Amino acid sequence: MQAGPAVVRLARPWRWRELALLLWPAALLGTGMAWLQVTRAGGVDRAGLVGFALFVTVLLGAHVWLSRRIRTGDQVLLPTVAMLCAIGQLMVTRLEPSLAPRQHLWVAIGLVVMAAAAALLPNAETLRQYRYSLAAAGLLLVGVTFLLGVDPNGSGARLWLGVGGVYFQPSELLKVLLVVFFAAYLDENRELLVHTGPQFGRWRLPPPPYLLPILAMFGVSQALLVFQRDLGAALLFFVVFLTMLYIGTGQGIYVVGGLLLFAVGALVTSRLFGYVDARVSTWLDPWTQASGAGYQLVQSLLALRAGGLLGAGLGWGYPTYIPAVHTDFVISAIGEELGLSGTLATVGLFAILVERGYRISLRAADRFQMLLGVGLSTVVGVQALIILFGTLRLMPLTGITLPFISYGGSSILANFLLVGLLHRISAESR
Amino acid sequence: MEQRIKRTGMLIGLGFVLVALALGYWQVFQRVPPDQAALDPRIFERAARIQRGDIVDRRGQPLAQTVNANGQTRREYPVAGVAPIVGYASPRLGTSGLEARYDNLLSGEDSPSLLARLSRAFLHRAQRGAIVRTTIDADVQKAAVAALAGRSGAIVALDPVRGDVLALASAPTFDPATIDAQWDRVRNDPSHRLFNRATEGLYPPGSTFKTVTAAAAVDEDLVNLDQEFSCTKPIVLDNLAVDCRNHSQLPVVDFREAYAWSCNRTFALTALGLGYPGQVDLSDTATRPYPWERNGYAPSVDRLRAMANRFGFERDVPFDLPLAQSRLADPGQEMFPALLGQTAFGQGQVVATPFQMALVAAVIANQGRLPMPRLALDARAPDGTTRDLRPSDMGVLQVIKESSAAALTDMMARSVDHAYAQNAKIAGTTVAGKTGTAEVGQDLTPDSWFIGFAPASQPRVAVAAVFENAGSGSNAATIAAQQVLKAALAVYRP
Repeated sequence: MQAGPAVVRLARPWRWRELALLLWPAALLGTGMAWLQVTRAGGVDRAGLVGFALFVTVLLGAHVWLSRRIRTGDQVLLPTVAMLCAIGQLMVTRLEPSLAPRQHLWVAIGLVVMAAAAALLPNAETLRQYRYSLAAAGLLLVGVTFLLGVDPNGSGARLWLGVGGVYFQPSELLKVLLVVFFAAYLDENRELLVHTGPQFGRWRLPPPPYLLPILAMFGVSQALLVFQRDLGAALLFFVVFLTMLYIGTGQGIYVVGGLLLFAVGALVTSRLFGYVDARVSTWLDPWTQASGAGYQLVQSLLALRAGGLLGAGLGWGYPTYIPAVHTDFVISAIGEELGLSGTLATVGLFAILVERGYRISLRAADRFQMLLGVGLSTVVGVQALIILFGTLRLMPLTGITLPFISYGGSSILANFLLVGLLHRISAESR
Repeated sequence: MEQRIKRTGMLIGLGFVLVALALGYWQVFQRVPPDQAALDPRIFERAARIQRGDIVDRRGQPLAQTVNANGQTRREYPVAGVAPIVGYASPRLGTSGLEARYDNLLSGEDSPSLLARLSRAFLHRAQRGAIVRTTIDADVQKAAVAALAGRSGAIVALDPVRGDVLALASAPTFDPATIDAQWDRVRNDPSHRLFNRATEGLYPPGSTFKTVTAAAAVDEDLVNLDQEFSCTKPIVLDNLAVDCRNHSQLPVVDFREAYAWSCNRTFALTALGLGYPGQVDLSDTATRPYPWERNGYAPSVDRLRAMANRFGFERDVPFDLPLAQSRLADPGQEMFPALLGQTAFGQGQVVATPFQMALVAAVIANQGRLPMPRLALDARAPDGTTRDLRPSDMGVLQVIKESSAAALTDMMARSVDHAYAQNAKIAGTTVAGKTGTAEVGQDLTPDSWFIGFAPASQPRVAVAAVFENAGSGSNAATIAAQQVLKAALAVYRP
């Protein structure tokens, strides 16, 4: 694009609104860390100070970077994500102080990744060009995990790849890559998917030849995940895939077919795999298994009850009785210590995040970016919903992280990548 | 496509709404069934972190104490038999007695110190409870517990002027230190160890109730105290014969001696005459129809009841521990003459708690004034601030005239001096008292009762004692009461 008059370039606004909103996550983390320092005796938490400083610095840096490199675009997205991260870092500091430095680091790196994705990508077109390679790479990684995966946390499923002490969960990255692939494919073949295919009275069935590639991609990923006992990811992918198909083609048949497929799949897996059954029975009645399989869920519910409206106070509850409280069940810790007000605020933040993502998508520059934006937003939203539903006993529990809040580097990095792409879409929007 | 996107967005939004509703339910409205409550580790965590305040006697001796051992806190009870006073404090079972009444102060939830309250509310600083000081004197309590040893019953001792309860013992009782482990055994024990006989046990008071009847008679000037009369023939009320067997060796008595020798006939007649204008002829020569019957006057329980109410019967007396209400008769019971006669000497349907009867003695001792009973004195926070726990002064209730109280004191002194309560004598001082041998049913040994105070002039301690199925009042209850009075007089200087 031709360089416009200097005055026009200089007159482009700074992202002031974003800067103002960023005060909140900084204040939250600062106050929270200070509170933990004051009420929990024993030495100055140097690591916490460094972590806080790191967070504020990198956050500011990301903001400046975005302001200079992409300038326009959604200004609420980053503060929302930063707020969620602040909550997450605070909870990890409280629940597992030894892991806190790592969480601070992941967030910092994540912000860098986000900034890179937002500004260094020439444009969204590049993604579309490399869609097959990206998807293949993702599947390959997951395949490798299937063969060589390890389980460093003892959570029961070998979902991690380890290199020199650092562990990485490929399925987190895969979700972003597959969404890119689906969006590109759906955009490219939309006409064919909608208007061809055998007619069945009023119903038009999906056309097999054109559906095959994505079905294959989808099928392979599902198989890998289910065999690895990563039910949460499998469910997430399934829902996102279905959503994107529906949005992309407008054919209700996909939704119906998908739900049927889900029912069949659920039955099959519960027959083949005992652990699915176990999850369902624990969901239906955790109290009778309170000292066994139901322990985690029961303790989570008791913790939530203990929180009441305003919570027991940060550091003053007993959420550590819940196994995996710093990962899957962090919402229960928030519930116990920050009360209903804390949990509703957290849920509200997720709702804002998804809403922003959808808003960005609706103003996207082209259909591919629209589909991509919707897909990415749906991933975050549905992932949050899956784990929240599970911990709140609205559906059987599946192991999946709460985006940005749970402890876990791969999850944070992948989600920041996702947000970076959203920023990119937002920047290029009309 | 935009439409579909919006629709999907709404659906996700709906999902978040569901989450919010679920959170609201789990965090605010969730109720855990009681049998599952023990799954929550928080009750034990919180209890373990609280440095519960001690409950001490009036001189600071601990009755209930928190000791630290290996980072754990334990509640100990150095004085045996205090369970009826302090109760138990268990994370699992809850609290009872004073542990329950002042749980907020003992656990640090509430504090006399404003600074402590603020610190607790905002900074969640570790809780240290306040020390609750009681009116109990450990030495008197020990004497009461020892006097009850091995039998069922209760003893209450108090300062009749100030109302301070010096001892409150009920037997058999339990050990609050082991209540967690022993709960099922104690709860199902047929001897009712958890039951506080002193404050909630309702027993027919027997002849000790004559004190109330006498108070009514004297206060109303119904009888001539010094006039002697012949008292040998039984009176018959609705087929019930009430006789003078208690003083068969003494055919001629005056009202004072009739009281000292516990004459049932005299008191039955007195009760029937309460409300009759003028004085009542109590002698043998009085036969049916009785004067008041001839003049169309109907005997009624009203005056006796009114007097009993003034003493505390059928009223709720405010106290730090729950008190059962003593009463003259079953609710709604019509008081026909035979029943009224029996009520006069503490039988019929009269039931009273040992605590109530101690208050009766206290009124006589305190020149006719009913003291406000007190158990908790104050609570002292770790930083020294105190809160006064004594009941607010509700004014003095003059139950009977001072002169009446003096007359009754004389009668009670006579009972100890030469009649049925001689076992209550203490060398070097005068004791005033009344025994009671309460019938509790056919083929059952009567309950043994004693109420009294010492010294007779300038009283310092009033006491009531009851022993279940122990026979004559002169023995078990009186001997025990004498021991308690002696111990109290030795250590208690108001």
